[in-house]
Amino acid sequence: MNGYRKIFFSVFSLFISYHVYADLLIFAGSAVKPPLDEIAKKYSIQCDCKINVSYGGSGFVLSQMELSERGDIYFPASPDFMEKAKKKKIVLPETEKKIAYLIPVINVQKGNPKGIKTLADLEKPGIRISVGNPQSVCIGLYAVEIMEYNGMLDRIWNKIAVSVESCEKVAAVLAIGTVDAIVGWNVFEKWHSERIGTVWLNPSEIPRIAYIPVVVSKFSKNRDLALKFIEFLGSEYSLEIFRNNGYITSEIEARKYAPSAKLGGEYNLPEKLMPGR
Amino acid sequence: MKGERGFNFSISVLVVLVVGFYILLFLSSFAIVSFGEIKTALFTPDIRFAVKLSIVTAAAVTVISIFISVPSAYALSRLNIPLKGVLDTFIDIPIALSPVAIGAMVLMFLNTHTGRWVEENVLQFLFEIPGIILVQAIIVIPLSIRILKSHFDTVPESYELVARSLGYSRTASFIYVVLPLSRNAILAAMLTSFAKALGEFGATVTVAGAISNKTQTLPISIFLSLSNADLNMTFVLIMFLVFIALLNMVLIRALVGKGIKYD
Amino acid sequence: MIEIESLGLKLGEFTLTDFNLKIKDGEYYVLLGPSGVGKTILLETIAGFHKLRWGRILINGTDVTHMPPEKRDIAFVPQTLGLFPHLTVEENIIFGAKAKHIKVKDALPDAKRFSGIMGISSLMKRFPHELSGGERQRIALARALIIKPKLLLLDEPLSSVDPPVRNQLQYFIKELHGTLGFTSLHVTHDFQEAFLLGDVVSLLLNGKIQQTGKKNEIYFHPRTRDAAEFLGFRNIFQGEVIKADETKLCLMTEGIGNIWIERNFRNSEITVGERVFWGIRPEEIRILRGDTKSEERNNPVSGKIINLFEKAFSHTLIFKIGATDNHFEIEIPHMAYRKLQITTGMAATVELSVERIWVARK
Repeated sequence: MNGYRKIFFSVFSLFISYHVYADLLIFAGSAVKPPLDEIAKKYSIQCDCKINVSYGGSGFVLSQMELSERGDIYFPASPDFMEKAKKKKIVLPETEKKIAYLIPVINVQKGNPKGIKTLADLEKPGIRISVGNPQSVCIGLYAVEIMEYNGMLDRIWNKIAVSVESCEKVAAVLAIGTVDAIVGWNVFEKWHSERIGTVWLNPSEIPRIAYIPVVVSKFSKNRDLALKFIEFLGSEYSLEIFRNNGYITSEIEARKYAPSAKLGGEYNLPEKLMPGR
Repeated sequence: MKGERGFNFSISVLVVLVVGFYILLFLSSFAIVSFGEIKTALFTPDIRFAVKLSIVTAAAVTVISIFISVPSAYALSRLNIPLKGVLDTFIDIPIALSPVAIGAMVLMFLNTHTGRWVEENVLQFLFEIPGIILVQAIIVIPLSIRILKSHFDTVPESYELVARSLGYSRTASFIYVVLPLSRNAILAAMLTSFAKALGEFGATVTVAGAISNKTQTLPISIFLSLSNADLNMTFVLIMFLVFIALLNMVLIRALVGKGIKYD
Repeated sequence: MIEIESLGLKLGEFTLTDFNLKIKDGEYYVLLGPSGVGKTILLETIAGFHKLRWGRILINGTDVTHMPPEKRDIAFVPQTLGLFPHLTVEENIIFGAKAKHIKVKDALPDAKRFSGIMGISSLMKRFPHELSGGERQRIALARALIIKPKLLLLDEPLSSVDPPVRNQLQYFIKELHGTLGFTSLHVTHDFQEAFLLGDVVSLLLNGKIQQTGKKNEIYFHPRTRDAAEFLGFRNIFQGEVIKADETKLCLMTEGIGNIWIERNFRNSEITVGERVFWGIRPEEIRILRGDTKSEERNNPVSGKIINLFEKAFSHTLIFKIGATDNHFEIEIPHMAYRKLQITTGMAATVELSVERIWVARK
């Protein structure tokens, strides 16, 4: 009987847990999971409230939020999705806060076995490269802009081995060794410290840098709490955690790598890369 | 005879290759993962929660599925309800749909007037555990009905006729004659239901979200760890999943007795 | 008494109209007809599995037309026997007990007794699939009869059983019926079976009951051409009545000549000038020895033996009639065959016995 009881109670408790309604439901891009998990845990102890975070692709969780009309906070991994969210009018733009900054770099295998030193090196024969799908992945979009900005787009576009559909997959594809180099974010090295290295671009080669924004959702039933959490996200405590995870957290520092680059904003894909070409 | 031997040989080789391919796939996980990592994972509360959640919800889904699909399959097999052909076709549609599509539809529905009423007055599904069970049941039930209807179609109606002529009501003849003859089929349906629910990802993550220590099932954990480029964890979790699935197969097969012959 | 009044039903493509039947208590009633005419559907309807379009079914005066099968007290044995494969023989037999709320231990003595009568006592703990066709048939009967039904429906019960066993079972059922006296409706396409078992036989052809009566009547005097053909009359011709008096009829058939037929109550209404069917069974045609003379009143026919087939217990001869393309099929036992020294191509004369010729209008 004891065995049955245990099973019964564990099942029961699982169902009971739903009664404990979350005070905050955050939709976040899975890229920010490591730091966000830690921060949310700390905050929930501090405020004695329950915080649930649902992760996924930035676009995916945005769809979830839109369809379900739930959620308190939207925390995408890149600014283009924030723009989408604002266009859909499902977030409160006045609450937007920039948390961290992303610099596009060239990521290579650890130790740089193929000796890639510059952007131009990517054109060398025998170098396999990958970028994210520019239609769905922020880094892909930025990569295309960099190539176009530096006049290499036509030459290099056909060379691209793999066009992957999410930020993390782009990093994974390099980490596993399928390609030799990718255009990625500066944080990627932190994600796969044993397998990925970074080759910084020349500041003049970078037309745009990105940031990770957070915002309160229109559907929030706990606006005050949400705002307080966002403030906490921007606090020194949280930013330290982001830095530990490889993110750059001040604009000034970001500018060191790309002083004249635009910050966020929109970039339109060239005609020939548009779908249905 | 020579031609026959050639044919037998070729198809045997094909089967071995197919199975061998899958085994190789599973074994390739070992290339990345070490036993130490497996042990660590076993002791991570998050992972233990994910495993428990997956098993419990899959089991719940299986039970619900059987209770719904057995009578439904029987109705489709035996009764001449109007529009039977249409109903039959409709059952096949969820099977063909992508789980994410189903998840998205459930999401939409729960946001409609009716859906909201249910969420507020009956049970919360969105981003909660009942949502996992709901959406997995939606996906699993049509499959289960298919299996069971196929089976009921092969049980000769004469058995029920005899039982009824001996004094059994329609319900009684179903319980005492048809069900005992359906043991294997019901177990097969349970096995399939459990396996499908266990591995379900697209619909689950859409409706219940990927929330740690709340709705994070095993497949969702795999997805998340891959998303976070934690390859080692990914493969540890895959191995857990394979192990549980294997356990499921073995257990159910052990419960299945010898096949029953009938006229 | 089982009464079926004006039963009409339509199931899929099968239609039956104005079907009537009366079975007395304890009677063994056989419904004889070719396969596929819907005998099974008819039985199933009587058992209560299909809805009637119109008509009534009465059991001992009670209208059961709208009662569900489980309330009708009619036992049904399908063609496949329907023995439950997941139950032992014993459990199969007492299956009906639970429905009547009889406890298992109370039902067992009866089951034992029955299985004794059926000769299957030693098989009680076995499973149906382990047993032979004859054994399974008896179990099915035991299962049906133990609940003492008001009517036992048997759907071609012996069709799937090997010939030697079939004969045995036929005798067995006949004896069983003699002992237990149950009321039974048995459908079959085998007229030998009908002949052996039936107290009353009804011939079901083309969706209608063509004839009902004691078996001899049906077998030797079918009332229609279709019935005759079904019952094994293989030599059927058409002729015109040219003479008719109180004792005899004379028919003229092209290519064969004049045929004399004995007058009786069955053909009493036939008059001169009518075109009728006539026929004779293969066994009833006599071959005359070479030198024997014959008179017209014995219906002699000359011709040639053009083919012969040796069977297990008799010979079948194909006799070409005169100069025509018509032929008789003649069946003779081996002994006669040898005595007459018959060979193919041999010219011969045959006689058709006046009393044995069948005639009918339709």
